[in-house]
Amino acid sequence: MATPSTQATVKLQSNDNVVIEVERAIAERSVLIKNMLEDCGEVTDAIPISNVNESILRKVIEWCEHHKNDPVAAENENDDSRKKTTDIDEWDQKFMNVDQEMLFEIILAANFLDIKPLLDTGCKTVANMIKGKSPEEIRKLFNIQNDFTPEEEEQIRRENEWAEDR
Amino acid sequence: MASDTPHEKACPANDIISRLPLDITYQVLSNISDVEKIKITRVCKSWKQSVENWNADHTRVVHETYPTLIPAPTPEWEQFYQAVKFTTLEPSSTPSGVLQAKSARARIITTKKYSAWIDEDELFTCVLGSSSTIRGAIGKLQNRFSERLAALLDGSLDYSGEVLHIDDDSGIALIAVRITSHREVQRGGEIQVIPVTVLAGFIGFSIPGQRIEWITDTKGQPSDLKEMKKAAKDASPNWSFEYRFNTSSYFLNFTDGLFILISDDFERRTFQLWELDFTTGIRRCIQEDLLYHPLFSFTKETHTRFEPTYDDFNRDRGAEGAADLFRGHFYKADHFDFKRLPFKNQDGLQVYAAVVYSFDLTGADFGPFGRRMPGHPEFQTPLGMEKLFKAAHELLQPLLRRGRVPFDMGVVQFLQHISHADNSHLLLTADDPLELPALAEEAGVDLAALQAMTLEEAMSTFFGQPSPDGRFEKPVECSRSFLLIFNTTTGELIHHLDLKPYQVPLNVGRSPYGGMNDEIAGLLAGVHHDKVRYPAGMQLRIRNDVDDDKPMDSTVGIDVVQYTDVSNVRPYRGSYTASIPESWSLTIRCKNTGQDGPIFTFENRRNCLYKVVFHQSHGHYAHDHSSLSIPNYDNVETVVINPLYQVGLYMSAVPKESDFFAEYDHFNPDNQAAQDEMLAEYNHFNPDNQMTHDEFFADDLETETPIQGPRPPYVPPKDIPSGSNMLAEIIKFDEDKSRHWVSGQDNGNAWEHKWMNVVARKPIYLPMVEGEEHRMRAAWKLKWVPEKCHHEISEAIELDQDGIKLGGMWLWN
Repeated sequence: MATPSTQATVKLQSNDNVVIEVERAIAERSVLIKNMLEDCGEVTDAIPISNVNESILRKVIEWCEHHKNDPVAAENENDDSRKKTTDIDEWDQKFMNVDQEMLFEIILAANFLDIKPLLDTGCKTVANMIKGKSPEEIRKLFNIQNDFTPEEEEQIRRENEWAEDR
Repeated sequence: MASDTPHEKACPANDIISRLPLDITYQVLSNISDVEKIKITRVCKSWKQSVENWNADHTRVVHETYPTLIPAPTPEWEQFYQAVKFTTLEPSSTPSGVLQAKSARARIITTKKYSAWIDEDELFTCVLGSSSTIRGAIGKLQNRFSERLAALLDGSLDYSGEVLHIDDDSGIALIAVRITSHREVQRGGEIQVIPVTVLAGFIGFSIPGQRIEWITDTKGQPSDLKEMKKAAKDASPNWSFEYRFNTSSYFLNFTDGLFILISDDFERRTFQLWELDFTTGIRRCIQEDLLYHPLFSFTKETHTRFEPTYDDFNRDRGAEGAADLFRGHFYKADHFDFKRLPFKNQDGLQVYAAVVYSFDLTGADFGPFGRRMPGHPEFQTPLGMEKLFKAAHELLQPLLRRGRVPFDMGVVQFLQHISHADNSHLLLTADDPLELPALAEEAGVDLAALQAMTLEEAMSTFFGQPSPDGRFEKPVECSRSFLLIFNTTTGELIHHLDLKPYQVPLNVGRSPYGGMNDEIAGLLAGVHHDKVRYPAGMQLRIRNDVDDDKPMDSTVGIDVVQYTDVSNVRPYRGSYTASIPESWSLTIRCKNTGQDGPIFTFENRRNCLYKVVFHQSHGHYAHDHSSLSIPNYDNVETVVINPLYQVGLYMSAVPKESDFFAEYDHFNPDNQAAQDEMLAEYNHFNPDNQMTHDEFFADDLETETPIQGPRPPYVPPKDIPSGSNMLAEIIKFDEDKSRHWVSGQDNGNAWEHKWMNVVARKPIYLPMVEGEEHRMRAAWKLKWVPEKCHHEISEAIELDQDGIKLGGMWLWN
């Protein structure tokens, strides 16, 4: 392992080649970057974030900046210990109030950068979009083509009647 | 969840859920409820696939994480679906409807779509609204129809009837028509003219069309009313008198167009499997002898069964050898249920039928003419225990009321107790010694002399040296149960499987009052001192349909429930203490081998025994702490079991203040040493057994924290409608793991045996007023017919994913 670094900032390079300088503590909200920095020690070059474009990367950095003082989850913390409710705090709700394409990209970026709290928030946001809606409303919201035949859908609708009003 | 799951997304679409990696999709799904997961399967095929994959992978991961929680990773969507559906099942805020009948004997038959019944002499039919139309709707019962049977036929007043079955596809109700005529019979040396009601034939009544579709005779041949009446003149009344049970016995029950015809030979019955075309009434015999396999030769021997005849029940009740001690007129030695299995052949037909069968072996032993009964050469004079018990029982009551003896004290203990408490005279100890004059007379002892006796002298006079154990020496095999698979095209028995019962893995023999578990163990082993358990019904449920892509190479889960009853075999009629139904759940795997036909194998065999203890105000187990007892055993109706969800449904009487004593002493630690000593004395444990007696009955011997002081006054719950005396409740079971065992290998497949205790009771609410606070319990006023105590209107009928059926009420979600 490399010598611990005292570096204050790191540079992140999006897949559209934009370099963004960010506080190291903020960048280390990403377990991927944190591990990379720990392994490599002092990093002067920009770290390529190959799966994330500039706008999404800035959005992710915005989230990390806001949550920089949050306690970091232990490494061995498993899924079961995560908060199970779909409550999302007000700031995060506003943060996630974006179009579905950006929400999708944020979730993918959070997954790639290994930022579990952001990934959780993204998944909960999608779950909250689904909750309490009828299949028709969900199709409309997510612009989904109904590919069931009328007979198939009627059968499922009849079978799931008990679940529809819940 | 790891992303290297075995599933990949099918039918990729452009929406966010469909485009996310599977593990992230799973994370999204983990944030919505299981009901929501099922609901979104209607969004599109991709989402449906995602949810089904989640279920499969989730089950696999849970198994890997908690191998002891899920013994095998069997991700069955249908099972998950039904479990979720069931957990959301609560009484609907709008019940499908309450069907009321004037006669308590009216037997209401329902299917998913229809309901029909005959109330006195009037036929009623209706269409049940689907759940979608039920919710919030007013007209939940549609197309109501009623007509007097006589008017529907030829105007004769002699007709009565019973709806036996409704075919859900055609909407045709099968109605047994009975005709009453007057016949001369010999009674007590005199010729008497009595009304005799016989089965005359059948009609098929179309519920949607509200008309008779066909008429057949008792043999299933097309007939008319004239022929029906003619045939009725000579028909035997034995299986067709007006109690519904025996009429139904003739045709037993119907499922999927199949029915079993029973012969009227009381000593050696035959059972035939038939197919009925509901649109024409025409029948086809599939198998002339359902029990033709040599395995069932034991059922064909003379006197292996005893079933009371019409004459038995018309005999003077006090006559020698009468059926007084035996079961009621509804008793049957053989019990069946059957369904077509969902496996399909190349033509898409369901040609295999599962038949579950249970035979009562106790009839031969304990019937009025059996070897366990007085008068039979092999009959042995019962031990003195029952007399002792009877006397003590009489003495016990006033003392209990005065709180002078521990509540759950046994008879022998009781006698010892009163001898210590008042060792002068037996008579003086009791307030109301009803039995003593009679006992004195029987023993040829002067009453005054008896009064002067000490307890020991009295016991010696009446009972000799009392045996500590009133059990029969030889265990009785109470019943045998089987699963049979028939080919309905050829009538061939394809497969049979023994349904191995829960057995007590030790030689039970101890104090007959050693605890409820001991009593149940005695019943299971057939060594109970004065009761015997026998089968009272069989039920078969099929859990899932098969994959249409592989109709002959698939698996189907089934649940078989054996309901049992307990009858007295001694003159003393002890109280009914428990219901002990049993279930067998297994997976049937059907593998098509081409020309040789399919091979059936049986997997995941599980047997559960359900211990449902009835609360006994005056008994010894009122505070049995190894189970949650059911209040007011007097009026407990049939307990319905659903093994898939490990729940039951029952109805019992509304508790009243008089059901409880004003004061009681639940547990007296001072008596514990004496009690332990007595248990040790009566412990006939066989040391060769693997498990020690005390280990097996550990919880009988444990003591819980004593409840001291006066019992608080009983406050009736506020949610019981006034005037009602029967309440419906769901009971939840959980396994007593200390009694879990696995039976020996049987062709590589062992049975897993579980002992289930009641762990929770949940009242069922009939929402008279919407809203949680104002809901009232489902309740009825019991209907009684003098000397014909039918109260079917309030019986628990079914509890499954289709809803809850309670007598005349149906509740759906």
